[in-house]
Amino acid sequence: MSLVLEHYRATMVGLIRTPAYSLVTVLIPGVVFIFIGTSVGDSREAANIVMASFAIFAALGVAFFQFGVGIANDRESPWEQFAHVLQVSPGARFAASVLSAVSFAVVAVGVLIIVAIILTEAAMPMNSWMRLLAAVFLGSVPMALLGIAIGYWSPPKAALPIANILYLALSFGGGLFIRPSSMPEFLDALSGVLPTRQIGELAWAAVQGRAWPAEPWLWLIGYTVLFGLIAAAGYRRDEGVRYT
Amino acid sequence: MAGTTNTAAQLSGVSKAYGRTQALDSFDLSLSPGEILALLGPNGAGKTTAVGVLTGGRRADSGVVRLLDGSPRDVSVRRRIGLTPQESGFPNTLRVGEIIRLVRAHYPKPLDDQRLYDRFLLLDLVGRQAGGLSGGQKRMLAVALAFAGGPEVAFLDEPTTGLDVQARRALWQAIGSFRDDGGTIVLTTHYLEEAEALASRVVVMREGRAVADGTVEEIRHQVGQSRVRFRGALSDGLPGLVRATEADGWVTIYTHDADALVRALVGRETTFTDLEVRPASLEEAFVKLTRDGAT
Repeated sequence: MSLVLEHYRATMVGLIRTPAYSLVTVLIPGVVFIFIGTSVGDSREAANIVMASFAIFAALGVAFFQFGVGIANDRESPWEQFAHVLQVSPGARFAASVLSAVSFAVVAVGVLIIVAIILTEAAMPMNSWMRLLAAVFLGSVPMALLGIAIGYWSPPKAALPIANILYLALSFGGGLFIRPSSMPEFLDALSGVLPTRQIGELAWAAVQGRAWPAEPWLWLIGYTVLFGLIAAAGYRRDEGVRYT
Repeated sequence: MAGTTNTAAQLSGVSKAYGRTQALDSFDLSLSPGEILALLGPNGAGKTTAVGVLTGGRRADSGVVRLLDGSPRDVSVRRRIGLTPQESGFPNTLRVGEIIRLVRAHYPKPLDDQRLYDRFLLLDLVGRQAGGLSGGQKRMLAVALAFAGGPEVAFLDEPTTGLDVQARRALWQAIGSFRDDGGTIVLTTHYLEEAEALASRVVVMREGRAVADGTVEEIRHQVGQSRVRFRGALSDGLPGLVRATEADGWVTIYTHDADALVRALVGRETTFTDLEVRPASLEEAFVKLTRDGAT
């Protein structure tokens, strides 16, 4: 356990001292929100929905960049090879990286929510807040696995552009920037099968006080299995290349 | 420190290929506790792979690998060894003290950190980020990390490369006191001075095999202990000749018995000038062994 904390500490300190990562991850969703999200009108419901969408956007950034780009960079680093030999319990470093990703996601989502509360009409009962956070963080699990898959399968130099493109495409396609109801029909149909749309459906239901539909959960479970398998295969392939 | 172990590490008939490249070719190595072994060879000779297999980072295709009476793939065995990171690729934003703290956390009985700073001249660097260290400072940190866990066997990759005189002396001292406490060291290097200065035993590697194994003296003996050089022509039938070359009017001869050779030269009344006799350097032994592959 103390080893998990030592690795967590080192990871957090390293990331915090890299403002190109830490500041961008934590502040960009809030900044984008200020430009696009604050002009949705005076309706409280609309403000809540936009805030929910951007909270997902904020958490996705951590999933793609901390896992995707981070793992891809580590694969080339001699320090990681050293840490691999040092490694006493195989899960310790993975647990530490999950913990640090959750920490960053909490801050990024927190900043976004605070900005939304200050600048827009967003407000809702405690129960809705809880359900929103549950949807955002549970929905981030398959996305983190997708990030890990990117990290292990893409060449290190390609990871950043790949993560960027997927991040923006999935956010847009999932209806986080424009409501699915205002999408052209073909885009709405495509959007309906994306993992980000499923997280959106759950988050929007939460802020509107509606019961959760079952279908998005099933999609997300399916995506978790799919991305998990791809990530695991990538991990094994990488271990095979570097450590056998 | 050494416990009841009779061999610190052993490789028997270990082979390892990367695609078509045979990195280790039925390689044998036996290491006793307290030895300071230098694995010497040019790039691509298999040194790094040998250490990788011994430290559990790489899996051998065939052969037997033993480390401290166990397997290096076993975590409880790996806790008893230390190694320098390959290249000096530290996380740039972590401070020296933080890196040492992280590495120490992996070991049950790590070395006291003040002592570590002191031994490796790191006291003034504790608060510095690794990205801002000079090449020599990074090298010291790398070597300090190999000893940070209080290991029984330390694996060092070119430990003194790029160090200034003061740092090199501190490092020799640290290695000396580690050995006096019963510690075992494997160092990989392609610098001969490093092997000559530190090692009690040298294994010269070439194309995944050991081409020579012995003390620095013994390795030198394999190419002849002395080098005799003069201006003149090379004549046939000289005694005790190991190797002779002729270039630009200079004759260079490696021999086990320089005295007999010089007597023979004088006795023949051949004309020669500028005679010079000196012990062969390890460098010369090394060049011959790695080029010819003679054993």
